[in-house]
Formats: sequence, structure tokens, C-alpha cells
Amino acid sequence: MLKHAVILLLGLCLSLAHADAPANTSLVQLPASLDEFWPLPAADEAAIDGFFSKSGHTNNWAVLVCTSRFWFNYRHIANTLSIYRTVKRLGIPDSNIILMLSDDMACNPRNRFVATVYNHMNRFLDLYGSNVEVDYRGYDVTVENFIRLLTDRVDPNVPRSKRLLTDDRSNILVYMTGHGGEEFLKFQDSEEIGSYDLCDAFAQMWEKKRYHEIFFMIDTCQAASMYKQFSKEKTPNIIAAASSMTGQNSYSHHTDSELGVAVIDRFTFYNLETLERLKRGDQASMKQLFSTYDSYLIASNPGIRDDLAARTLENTLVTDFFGGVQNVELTPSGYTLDNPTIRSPPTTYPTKQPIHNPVTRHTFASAEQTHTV
Amino acid sequence: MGIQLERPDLENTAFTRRLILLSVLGVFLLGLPIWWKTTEIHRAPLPFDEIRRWAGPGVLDAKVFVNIDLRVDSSDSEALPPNSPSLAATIEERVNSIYGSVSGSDLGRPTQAANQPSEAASIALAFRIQDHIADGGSGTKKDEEPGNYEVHVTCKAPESGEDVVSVSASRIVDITTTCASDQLPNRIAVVIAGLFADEQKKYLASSSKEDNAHDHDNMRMVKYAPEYQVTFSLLNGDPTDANVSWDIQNGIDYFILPFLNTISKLSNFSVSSQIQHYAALPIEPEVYPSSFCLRPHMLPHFINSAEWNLASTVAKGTPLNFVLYIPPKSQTPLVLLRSDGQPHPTNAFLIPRWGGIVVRDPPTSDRLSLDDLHPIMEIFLAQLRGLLGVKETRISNAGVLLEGTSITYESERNIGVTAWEHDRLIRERTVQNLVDAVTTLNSLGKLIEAGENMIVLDEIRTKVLTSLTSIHHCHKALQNSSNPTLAYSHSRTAILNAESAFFDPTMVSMLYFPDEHKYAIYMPLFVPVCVPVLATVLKEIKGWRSKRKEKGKKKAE
Repeated sequence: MLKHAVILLLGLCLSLAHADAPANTSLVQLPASLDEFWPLPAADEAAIDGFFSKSGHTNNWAVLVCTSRFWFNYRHIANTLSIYRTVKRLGIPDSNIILMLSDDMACNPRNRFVATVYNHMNRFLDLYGSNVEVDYRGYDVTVENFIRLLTDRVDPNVPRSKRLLTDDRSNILVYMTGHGGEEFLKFQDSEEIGSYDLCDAFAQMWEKKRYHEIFFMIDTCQAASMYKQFSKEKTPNIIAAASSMTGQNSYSHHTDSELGVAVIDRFTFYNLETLERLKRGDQASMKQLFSTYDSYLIASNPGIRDDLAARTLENTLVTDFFGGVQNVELTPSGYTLDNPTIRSPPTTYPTKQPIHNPVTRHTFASAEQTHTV
Repeated sequence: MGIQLERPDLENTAFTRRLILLSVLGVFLLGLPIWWKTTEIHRAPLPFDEIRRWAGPGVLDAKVFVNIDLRVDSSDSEALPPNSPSLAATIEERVNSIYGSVSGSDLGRPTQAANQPSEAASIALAFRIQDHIADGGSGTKKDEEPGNYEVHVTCKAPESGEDVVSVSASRIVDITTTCASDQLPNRIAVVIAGLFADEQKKYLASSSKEDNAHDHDNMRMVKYAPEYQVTFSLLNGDPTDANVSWDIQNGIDYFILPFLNTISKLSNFSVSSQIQHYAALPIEPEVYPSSFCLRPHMLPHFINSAEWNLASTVAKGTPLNFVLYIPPKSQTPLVLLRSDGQPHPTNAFLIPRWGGIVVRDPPTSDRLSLDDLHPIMEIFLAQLRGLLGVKETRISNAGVLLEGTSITYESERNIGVTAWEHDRLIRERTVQNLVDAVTTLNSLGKLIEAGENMIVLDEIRTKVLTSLTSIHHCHKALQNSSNPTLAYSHSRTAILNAESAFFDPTMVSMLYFPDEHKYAIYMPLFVPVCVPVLATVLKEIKGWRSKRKEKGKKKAE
């Protein structure tokens, strides 16, 4: 009772004191709620030299999959390598690109131009060039591995470079090409992935917050049927583009008569026409990319799905998916530490030794010997 | 003996036929349980109800208690207002009322923070403030335990200058103020509430499902991992200009290791270093008459991921990279510019969830000594703190709420993290791990229930059960708060087990396999066999019926 009386009394005093607040500088007003402790974010925003990206993602990943093998499917390898080249040029590091090539065209005995892959009959640009890092090759490209990659349910011994280590701030480009039909895409001429499987894998990624946004691009026959199962509840934040509608075929662009096979598919070819003109950090929107699609040139009606997207296509940049637009923050200052000469050698924390890990491992493996030339 | 064409014994043939029919049906019947058994999928039973219960509204709600010892300088006790015995209680009531939670006495009631969406857990800080005036300041050293703080109030004459609040590095706040004033409880309450307001905000933000796309702290901070690999790399542009090496062993020992040792309760850290020469930038700095400049929009492409060998091949542990870049002489001085075009004083920047980069011109001597490394290591440490989510302790909005008070914050200049920051980090990680573990288990539950063909091994069950037990213990420990470290270690067990169950390689439900597909597999096998069998069965039934009719007729006759 006494306590309450005191509070009442204090409250009274406070309200009385409140009346002449401006005069008394030492007056402290008790905030009604925590909101008063949180100043408007404007001040905080200004403190950081702000170039955290507007899209809210902090890293980019690309999963590029060619699912078909054999020489006459040369163009699918060329499709995938073309996109690989583009995303690398636009700044996604190799460590963030998972490249799955189900066959090795460069070393195919029928390849007249040994150790090269071209995507145009003029053969100006060797896609296989100097620096191609294939993560899954040949018979490693299976539906199971693809699903395992997406869901990150991999053997503990799988190296980091073969894993999709994304988080809730990752934008992922998933590009697939091969032979498909209604709601399936053939892998390796022996198995197939269904649209349900794909949707299921993406749903699990979303469930575990393993992506921020996905751009799903597929160049195959009846491609649009592959994204049919995506839904707002299970797989939000996905933009999808497909080379053809359900019931339509997708066609190759042209044949290199010396190689004797088609070298690129139409849909990928016309996408590259746009993508090749982009520079790092380009401001072109997805809307602009999609508006370049010409169903006469592509010879099928490209399918576009944007109803799951978090942002409008106008506000989504092509480089949000194809580029490695990394955010940076200028470090405002260091953390002041005492000069080692005036303090004793490093000691442990004064209160307690670390409980779980008494020893912090301090390895200097091959220190000072790594030389990159 | 001639061949005798015997008329088939009708009775006998029928018997054989029935025998065959029965044996075929018998094989079917026998085979059924075998087929059932062999095609069975092992699904270890999981406590789905309990998993769902944790995700239910309000179940995860917790009050994280902060214990504060209030000590008012007793030598000046005459100056205290007459109500001093209940000063602590008054302050406790006020601080808790600000935090929207009930006071420490009714623990049983669930916390109802305002405007909370029902599914999200609401974690609220609650304060237990004890009076220590009676003790006369005799030290019980409670402040050395995480989660226990001390507020020292020193009284001063009303006219002797402005109020002083000084936050020490070791869980103590010193407040020098006019004790006689009615304002005393309010003043102390604002200081205490202000110190923890930012932390509370974070809990609200993490539990509400609203879009936090532009939360910079969240963007910067690496995900929780049980192990981090910290790599310090010296990238030298051109060794013909300066064959730079560094005293990194001592640099780490002196500047980084104390910090890592302190926070090693949270995660394991392994530290390594390397030097790479001929490290070329993938971008061309802008040329000015006297210097070379890098503008903010160029910095995202600073890392030469194709040639700099920074990515770790070791599968375990999240890598954190710290790069000291020394440009070739032909590109010096290399200056980072801010967006406004002014040179950036630290010449350093951070890549969220990746690491930090410091750019320095080639040193005059080839070896970077400990003294040379000092300012660089300070920046690396600041970046490391940012990446791990260590937030500086500040009284929020103090400029407005505590006008006319001078506030000082002590920093921990040997270790690089104060006890306040350390405690907060432990609490935040505990809460985050707890919420994440529950979400992960829930996702796992959904996944298993959706995939009826998925095998669930017993070890998954073990992991799920371990995780659930740890969630329970952690939640309990959080509420009691006697030992935040204990709560943390439970949360760690919970999240690790939940994650390892979710990402178990056996948890891949092999492909969409609808029932129609099963029919398609069994049809070609069974239809050819079944048609003659069924036809015979029908025929037999027919024959049996007609026979009965005949018998009936005969009897009637």
C-alpha cells in the first residue's frame, strides 16, 4: 500500500513539475513507452554511407543447369556457358555460381574445334575459354543431385564450392536448358524432373529462408509448364521466364555448318542480345528485358510469370539476378585498442575462461607461402 | 495295348481346376503381407504435436530477466528523499511499465506486448531491481555474472554542475545526480530503460513478420554458425615495388585473439592468414593528378574473385575474410571516396556477411610491424564486431530523454568487447537460436507430413527429440535468467540438432511420385495374371450356382 501511495505521490509531483518543464533543465520525463527510445530511422540511415542495395539482397547466386548430353545437344551446353559467361562478366564470383554441365562438348571427338565451345557460327567467342569452373559434370548431373543442391541436403563431405550456401538475403538465378515436355525436363536422357519436384525444392528453400528472390529461366520445349506449380503460399518471390508456352516447341537459332550442329537456342540467343549490352551495375529493369522478347524471332511465345514477385518488374533490375551487385559499407572508424607496447601481453577475459572451447585454434597453415602469380 | 482315348473325367478336371485356382489365390493372399512388409517405408514417429505446440501463439513468449543491483552512495544518505527504501521497487515498476511487461512478482502471466502478431513469439526484457542501500555498498561481486548489472548512484549537491552518467565496460553504471530530487527514480529508470531499449527493439523486429528488408544490422550480420573461419589475407599488388610481409601472428595475438576468446562461448573460431602477391584489382581506379580514387559504386567489384584465392575449400565453418590490400606503386596513393566525394578517413569498407577490406599504400619498410598493424587491426576488429552483430551499448535517444546530462561510455580497450555488449550478444543469439530452432523443426514437420514416401530414420527422431528437449530447457532457463550462458548452450544444442535433422542427406523425398504412377507400375504386372484368374473365379461361382439350382430342383421334384 505504501508503495502505491508513493507512486501516486511521485506521479503527482511529476505532473506538477511537468507544468513548468521548459524552465527546469534537470527534469526527466518518464517515457510512456519504448517508442520514445527509438528515434526515427532517418538518423541511423544517414550514419551509414548508404549503398546497401535497394532490393534488400546482399549476395547473388546462380545455378546454371544443362541437362542433356550427346553431341547433337551441343547447343544446350553453349546456352548454359553463355549465361555463365554473362553472369561472371556482370560480377557473380565463381564461388557463387553452380555450373552443371551434363556432357563435355569441348572434348567431344566430333568437335572439330578442339577444347572450345562456341555459341555463334562466326566463332568469335570461345565460351570454354580460360576460366570455366564446372561444379557438376557428366553423370554428376542428376535430378537427385540437383534437388540435393537446391535443398542443401548434401553429404557432409561435399566441398563448399559444390553447395548452394544461400541465405535469406540471396538472390538466385536458376537457369535450366535441355529437352522437356509438359511439366517435365529430361536429365541425361534417363530421368526427368517434374514441375512438382521443382516447386517442392523451391518451397523447401523458402521454408528454410534460403533465398530472397529467385529468377527462374528455362529454355526447353513447353517450358512454361515447368513453373506452373509455383504458388504464392509455397514459393513466393519468384520471377519466371520460359522460352515457350505449354504445347509449343522451342527452337534452335542457327547451325554452324562446320560443326554440323545447332550452336544456340533462340530464346537464349535473344536474351543474350540484351544481356551482352549490360554493364556491371546496369540499371535496366526486368521489364525492359522482357519487352525485348519477340515471339516472331523466338518462334514461340515466351512465358513470363511475375505474379509471385515481391516487386514490380519495373523496379526489379536485371543485374539483381545476373549481376553480383554486392553491397558495401564504408567502415566509419576502427575500434580503439590500447597500444600493445603499453599493455601486458594478451590475457584472457578477466571473469571466466571460455566454457565450450577453451582453446581457440590458431592455425597458420602455409602462411606466407601462398603466392599467386 | 492300343491308345485309349479316355473321356476326360469331368469331376476330376474340375477338382484340379479348383485346386489351381485356390493355390493361385493362396499365393496372392500369402504374398500380400510380404508385399506390404517389403514396400513399407520406415518412418520414425515424430512428436508432431509438440513441434506444432512450440510454434503456437504465445508459447515461445518469454521474459528475459535482467537483474540490477541498485546502490545509492550511503555516505550521503540523508540527502535521499524519505521514500528511499522503496526506491528500487519504484524504479523497477517504472522501467517494467515502459517495457510493457508486468512486474517481476507475477511471473505466471504471459507477456502481452502491444501490437504483436499472434504467431510470433514476443520476447520481452523484464527487470528485477534490488535495493542495496542496506548493504552499505559491501561488494557481493554480483556484477561479474552475465545478466547481472549494478547501478551506482552518487549524490551531489543540486548546484554542482550537470548530471553525469558513466557506463563502464564491466556491467556497472555510475550515475551522479541530485538524490534529493523527486526526479531520482525517473532519472535512473530512463538510464536503465535506455540502455536496453535497442536490444528490446531487436527482439520485436525479429519476432514480427514485417518486412525488415532494410534493416542494416540484419543485412550485415553473418548467420549463426557453430564455427567460423577467420582468414586474414595480405594482398600485395606488386612485390617488385615492395615485398611486403606482416607481423600477423602478433597482430592476431594482441588485437584479435582476446576478442575471439571472449566470445568463443558463442562459436568456435579458427584463424588463419595468408599473403598473396601480384594481386590485381578487377577495377580501374579513377585517376586524379595526385592520387587514384575508388568511388563507392566501384567498391562492390573490388574483390577479384577470379584470381584472389580467398574462398575456403574446407566445408565446415562459415568463412569471414579480412583483406589488407596494398596497391602497386603505379596506383598510389589509392583513396576510397565517400558518396559526397570526400576521402574516406579509414580507407576501409565492409562487405556484408563476407568480411572487411582495408586499403593501405605500400609501407616504407617491407615488414609491417605490430605498431603498423595496430590501426589496421582496429579496423578489422570493428568490422568483425559488425559482422558478428556486436552492438555498442548506448542509452537510446539520450539526447532528448536525458537532456543536460553528460554521458560517457567506457570501451574495452584490451579485449574489444565490453561485458554489456557480450551479454547482449549472448541474449540475442539465444533468442534467435531458440526462434530459429522452433521454425526449423516446424518446417521439418511440414516436410515430413507432406512427403508420405519419405523415409524418416531413427536418428532424425533422436535429433528432433534432443532439439525439443533443449528448446524446453532453453525457454525455461531464459525465464529464470539465473544463468544466461546455460540458456545459450541449450539454444545452441537446439538449433544445431534441428538444423542437422532438417539438412540430413536422407531427408530428400525422392521425387514426386503420385498414386497414378504406382498403378502404372503394377498394372502391366498384375492385369495379365488377374484376367484369367478372375475369369475362372467367375466361372466357378457360376457353375456352383447352377449346380445348386439343379440340386434345388431335384429336391423339389
